Amino acid sequence: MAGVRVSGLSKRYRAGGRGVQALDNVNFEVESGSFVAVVGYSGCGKTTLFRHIAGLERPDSGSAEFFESADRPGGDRSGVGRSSVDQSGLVRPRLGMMFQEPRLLNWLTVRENLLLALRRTTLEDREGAVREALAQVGLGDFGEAYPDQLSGGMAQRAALARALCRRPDLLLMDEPFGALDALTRLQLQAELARIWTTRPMTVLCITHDIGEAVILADRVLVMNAGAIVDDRAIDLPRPRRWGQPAFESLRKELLDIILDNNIN
Amino acid sequence: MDFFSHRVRKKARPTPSGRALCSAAGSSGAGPDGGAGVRSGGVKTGSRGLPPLNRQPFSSRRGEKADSEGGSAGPGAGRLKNVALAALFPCCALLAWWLLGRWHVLNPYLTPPPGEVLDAAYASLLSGELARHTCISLARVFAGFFLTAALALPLAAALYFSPAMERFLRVPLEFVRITPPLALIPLLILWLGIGEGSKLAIIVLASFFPIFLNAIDGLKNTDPRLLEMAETIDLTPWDTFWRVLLPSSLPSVITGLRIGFGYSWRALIGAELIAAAAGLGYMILDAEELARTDRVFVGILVIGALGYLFDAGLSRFAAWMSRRLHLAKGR
Ligand SMILES: Nc1ncnc2c1ncn2[C@@H]1O[C@H](COP(=O)(O)OP(=O)(O)O)[C@@H](O)[C@H]1O
Ligand SMILES: [Mg+2]
Repeated sequence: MAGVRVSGLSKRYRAGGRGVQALDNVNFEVESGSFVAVVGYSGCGKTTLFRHIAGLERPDSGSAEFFESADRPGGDRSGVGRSSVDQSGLVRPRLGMMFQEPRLLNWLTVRENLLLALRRTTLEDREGAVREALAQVGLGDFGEAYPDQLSGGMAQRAALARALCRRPDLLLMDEPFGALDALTRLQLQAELARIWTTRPMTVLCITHDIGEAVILADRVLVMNAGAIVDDRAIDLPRPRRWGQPAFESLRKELLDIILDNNIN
Repeated sequence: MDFFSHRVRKKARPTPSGRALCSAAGSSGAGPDGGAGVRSGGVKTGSRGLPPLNRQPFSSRRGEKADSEGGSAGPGAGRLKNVALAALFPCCALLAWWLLGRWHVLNPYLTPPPGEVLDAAYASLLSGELARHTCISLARVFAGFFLTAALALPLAAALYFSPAMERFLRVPLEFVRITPPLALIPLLILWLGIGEGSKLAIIVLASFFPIFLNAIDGLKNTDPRLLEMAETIDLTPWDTFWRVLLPSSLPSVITGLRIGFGYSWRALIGAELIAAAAGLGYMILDAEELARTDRVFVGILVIGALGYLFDAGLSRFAAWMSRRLHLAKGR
């Protein structure tokens, strides 16, 4: 399992003749095995932050690194999900990445899309892992479907299955359920919470739904204008339920923080 | 002639005058070509067209209904209309050609009537000469075409992956691209003689760039978001090429092959006109020297028809491939 350490991360883009400071000296550390939600207005740099963590983007300065740490007690290791450490001593976690769009290959079936994501893993029973992941997201019967035969929500679920079937030790999710209907979203939130408690992995999840952040995460990072402006631990007992008084007051508190930040 | 039978059938149903129209067209069709087709259309109309005629006032979608009840095994009214529309011009041209010949507007030595051209085609078919020239031209064009594909596709991939190589080859490639292949024929004949070598070279020069440039274009237009996704699942460059880049660029590659084939065909005929001892281009030139205009027409028609057929085939293949790869809709 991998923890994440982001230090001094800055990134400036040129867009339409003027500069945009997408990330402005971002510092934080995510404990291995924790579930961290990132919230904030659109355009505040959340996606950019994730792209740096996933290694898809070069920072202007600073870094995003990973560190190996002891497993969460009680977690089921089952021999998978261990980060590899390369010659230079850098930890390389097995990444599960979910983009804002499904990014499935249209010319492969859903099952083949998932199998492709397993091609470079050491997993033994790949077909089994694919079946399991598809069942977890409720697409058990759609392995042989092509992506253009799925609805938008189903395609996004297939993308979640693709990230999960890799048994990642770091799962990065960029507004994973934003495009889904409310009912499916609740269902997948519960499923994700269950998967996370039964298998140790570090999860970073961008969401624009504060309730979703509170119900899923150990900790919420609030971003504004390329910087982390608030960092809040959520120590509600699990499993959490919508409507609990403690849940609602935390949700309101976070909402106020975000709204205050926008006024500044 | 397909067109005539369709049109006659369609016309025959709604109006009783349909049969009169068909018999008129039939009697005027003296050529073995048009006449037979029209007559068969007329027969169909007479025997099958009648029952639906009576029902038409009660049917809201009479075109379709008439078709199915008329028993004409085949496409719906919409498709029929498209086929008829596509066939309209060739048929009119044929008819005009035939009529102008008949009215002695056209000089039969310069523009022989369709019947004579058909006779010439039949004769050269019987003598095996048409088949021989056609086969030689086709063999050349396929050999050249596959040679070109074998050169252009790997080179496109290489240049896609290596910007240094692209910079290195940009100027020479642009130079060759901008030079018309026909301008190189004298040089090619000097270097390679008038044998197969110079013809292959012409074909390669003519079809290389459409194939090469479309392939590069297809690779470069691959959705960068999919390539990022491939990166996050640690796909090797090899797998990324076969599973992501190649499928996504395939339609463009096939378009390039299709255009390239057309170019090869045209360039080959040109080369055969200039220096050859066989092939359809040579056949035309030979016929012209013997003042056999009928055979010149046979050559032109065969060249055009074959070119059209291969192009249509490749175009269908491209459409099928797009469907097979589910490329119509992206996400
Ligand atoms: N590739 C890019 N080129 C130029 N500007 C970019 C690019 N990516 C992001 N930006 C800018 O950086 C800012 C943050 O974008 P992003 O991280 O996508 O926001 P969020 O995901 O929080 O909505 C935005 O102002 C956006 O316009
Ligand atoms: Mg975003």
